[in-house]
Amino acid sequence: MGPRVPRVRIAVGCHPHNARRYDDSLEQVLRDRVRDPRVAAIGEIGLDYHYDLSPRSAQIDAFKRQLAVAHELGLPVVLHIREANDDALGVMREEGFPEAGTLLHCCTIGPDEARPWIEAGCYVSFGGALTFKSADAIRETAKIVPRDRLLVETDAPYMTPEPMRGMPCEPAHVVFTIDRLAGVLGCDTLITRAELLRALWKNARALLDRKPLAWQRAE
Amino acid sequence: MAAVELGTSSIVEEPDPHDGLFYRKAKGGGYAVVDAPMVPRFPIADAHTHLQSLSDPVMALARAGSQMAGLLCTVVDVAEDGDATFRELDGWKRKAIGVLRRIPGPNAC
Repeated sequence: MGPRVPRVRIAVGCHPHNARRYDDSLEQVLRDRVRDPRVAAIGEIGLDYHYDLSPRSAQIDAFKRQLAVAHELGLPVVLHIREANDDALGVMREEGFPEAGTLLHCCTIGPDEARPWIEAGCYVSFGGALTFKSADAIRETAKIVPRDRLLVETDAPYMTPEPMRGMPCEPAHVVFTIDRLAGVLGCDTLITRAELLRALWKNARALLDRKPLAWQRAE
Repeated sequence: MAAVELGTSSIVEEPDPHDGLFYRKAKGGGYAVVDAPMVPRFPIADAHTHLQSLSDPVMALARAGSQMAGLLCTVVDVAEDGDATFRELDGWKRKAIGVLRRIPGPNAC
């Protein structure tokens, strides 16, 4: 396959920053949006106690409500969890991990914090933070994620990877994160790097590029 | 665009997004080319991006394609992003096809 414009799927949800605005009306917007067959997941949803831009009670409520939507509709969820690991795990255990899958986006936690998510069967996605000099803990986490649940991302325009920091992040920068991940995982040969790429591709397709569901195609 | 050879690097006043290269700010001003990693020629995926928040989603799609990105998942916030991605995405992709034709291929091995 030569270069071509990528397929694009959509994740739609209410970010924890905006959780205080999540009400019946916004949930209806979400339900309307997910009918679009390009939508592959509910997200990013979760908890962000670093910025606390919405009250924590509102974050938890919006998180639970959107998880319920994902359960009802059979869609995977994309999670944004920052400095709220225990509470987020509590919510997921209480509400249940969606059968369609859970992706821990922009993983910035160490192995001890990540282990319960991995044991729960979650996919884990690594972005530019994996390449940062001070990110040894994140790189250690990457080593314990099963190869069949590993993904990469840019979170563009945020989280520009090394050596591009200082420039606006773009999706093409994912090659730098892949390169660093390959080094972390000891994929030093052409063959092992190709195996890693195949796995990353397969995982992304499996979680985020499924055929639209029947009720989406009917739109 | 004037380029000045400095060892193996080139310094340019302003990056040209159509050349398929990566640039970062140079210490003395301008922008220096950053070597792209050598990656096997295989499709890759960006599992989380915000196309709508980029300054030029069309160029971003084309440049991602030039690096063998076969799949992107773009994220839309129901509280603040409106319906722009849903309305514009197919158009961005159509325009990106034309832009991609002008971008050289990736640094593949």
